[in-house]
Amino acid sequence: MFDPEDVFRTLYRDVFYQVSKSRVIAFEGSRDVILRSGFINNVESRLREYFEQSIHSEGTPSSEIHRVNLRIFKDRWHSIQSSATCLVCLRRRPQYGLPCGHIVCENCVLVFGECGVDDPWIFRVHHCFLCGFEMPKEVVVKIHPPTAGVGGVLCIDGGGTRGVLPLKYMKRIEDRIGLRIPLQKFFNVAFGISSGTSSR
Amino acid sequence: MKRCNHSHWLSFGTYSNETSLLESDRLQTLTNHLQDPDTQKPSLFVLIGNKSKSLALRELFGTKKVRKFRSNRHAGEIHLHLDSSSIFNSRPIFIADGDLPQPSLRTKVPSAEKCHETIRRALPKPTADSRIVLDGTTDSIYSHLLLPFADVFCFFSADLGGFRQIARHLAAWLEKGPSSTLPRSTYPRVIIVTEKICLGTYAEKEARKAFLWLLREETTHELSKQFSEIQVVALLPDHKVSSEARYRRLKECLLNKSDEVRGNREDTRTLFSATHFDALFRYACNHFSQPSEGLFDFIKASRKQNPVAKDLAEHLSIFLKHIKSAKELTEFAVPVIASSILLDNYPPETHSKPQSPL
Repeated sequence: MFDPEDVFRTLYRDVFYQVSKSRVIAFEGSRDVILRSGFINNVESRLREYFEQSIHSEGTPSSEIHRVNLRIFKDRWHSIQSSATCLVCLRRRPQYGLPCGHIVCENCVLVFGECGVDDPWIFRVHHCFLCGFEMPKEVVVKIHPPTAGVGGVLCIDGGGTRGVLPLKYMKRIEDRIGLRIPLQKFFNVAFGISSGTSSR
Repeated sequence: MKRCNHSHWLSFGTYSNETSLLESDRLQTLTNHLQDPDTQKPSLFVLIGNKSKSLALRELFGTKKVRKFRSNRHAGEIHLHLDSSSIFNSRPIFIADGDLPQPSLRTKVPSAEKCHETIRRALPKPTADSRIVLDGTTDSIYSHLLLPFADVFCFFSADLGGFRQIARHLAAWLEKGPSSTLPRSTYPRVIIVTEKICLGTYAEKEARKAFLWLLREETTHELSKQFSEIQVVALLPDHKVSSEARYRRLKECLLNKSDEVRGNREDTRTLFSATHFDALFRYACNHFSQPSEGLFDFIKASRKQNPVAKDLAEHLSIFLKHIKSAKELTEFAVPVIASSILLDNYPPETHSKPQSPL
């Protein structure tokens, strides 16, 4: 793992210069000012601190550090909402609206959601990652596995009792692929006639 | 597929007036031989020479005698071996070996072997303003592709026409400027092996002085621009002692120098696991064939598959618009942004744990 200071300098520092073009950051409705360099250095030293935590012998994974961090400020998140930015990761467009009004992106559901036991590509969200709001009904997100190809059409013939054959074939194919992805996930649309209809 | 004995790794080839870099899957194959490539961190030694290098290679690392292939070997090829005694160690040793042929000696174009995959990357035609001139000689592979990955470069003086020739080559490398953004302390060490001088530290120190003097005649660039240290090692004349004794000191030197570089790499977090070494090297090859991109940056290369979001600045601005005071900025925004960067650059399960198969 690369040194956080090097990483910050190489990949992120310039982004901060784009964010605040002037050397002093001012705030609407407040007379406070803060130096841009001070802000950037603060982010950098915090990053170093979290990095040390994550590589410690029984290190906390980076996702856990961020999760805890978001939770610390759960009261502040109530007043902050955005439909253009996923506030959990601060770098993607949000996709899934939660009942509390916060909208999160697919990747954050993947990182912070609860992975399904029987299907590893179904994620459940019980609490908002930001404000901690408890969902009246868990939010279920199905994610298209990255290795499941581009999707296709599955057609299954009928044939009465012989309708069991396509099922057997599909099971064999699934086993041969050897990934923990149910075969139907590889397809966008499935058709079937006669007994094939039920095989879908 | 039948196992082949080819050790060819890198070379240049010319196809319809276009010079290409040929890279075989040798590094990948050898990485797969390792017991646990995710935790083992390899060292790369680069041995440059011809006959006496081959002898040393056999004695030092027990590589197989490859007489059958020797005659087929093309002048500019670089071959790669794995020290078989180090397969289970935390430090597996990769040894690249090649010659420094004069450009005029390049005769035949090596034909691609059918038994393993070889990637051909066309090099851009040299233009007047290109920063790095890729002249299609083996020198540029050493100085720009292997240098950031190697711990030690070992030159065999007897094969290369003496100190003067080595100094000329090193001078040419230095003229080309640095090749990566790695910190200075990780620059490789240079060992020059000679049979011409007597054993003993005093004679070696004198020879080192003489070499540096020759180097200064060839170039004004400082050695420290690309290498961190230079040492001359004397070999006993052949047949006087057992070959094991003859090379023992050289091996000690190689390992000591490598230890030093590894220590510095560890400190600067640029000592890579074999899996990463292999992947980063592939990026370096891609970068090598597109030299307009500037120096090879390991950190940027590591994010090629998962680059930093292009609109990150926009998203951060949206978030920061909600921040109303300096106190809120330092107490709330700063930690949240910092841990989001941590998550972005060091996602869970990237290291130490096996990757999910999906």
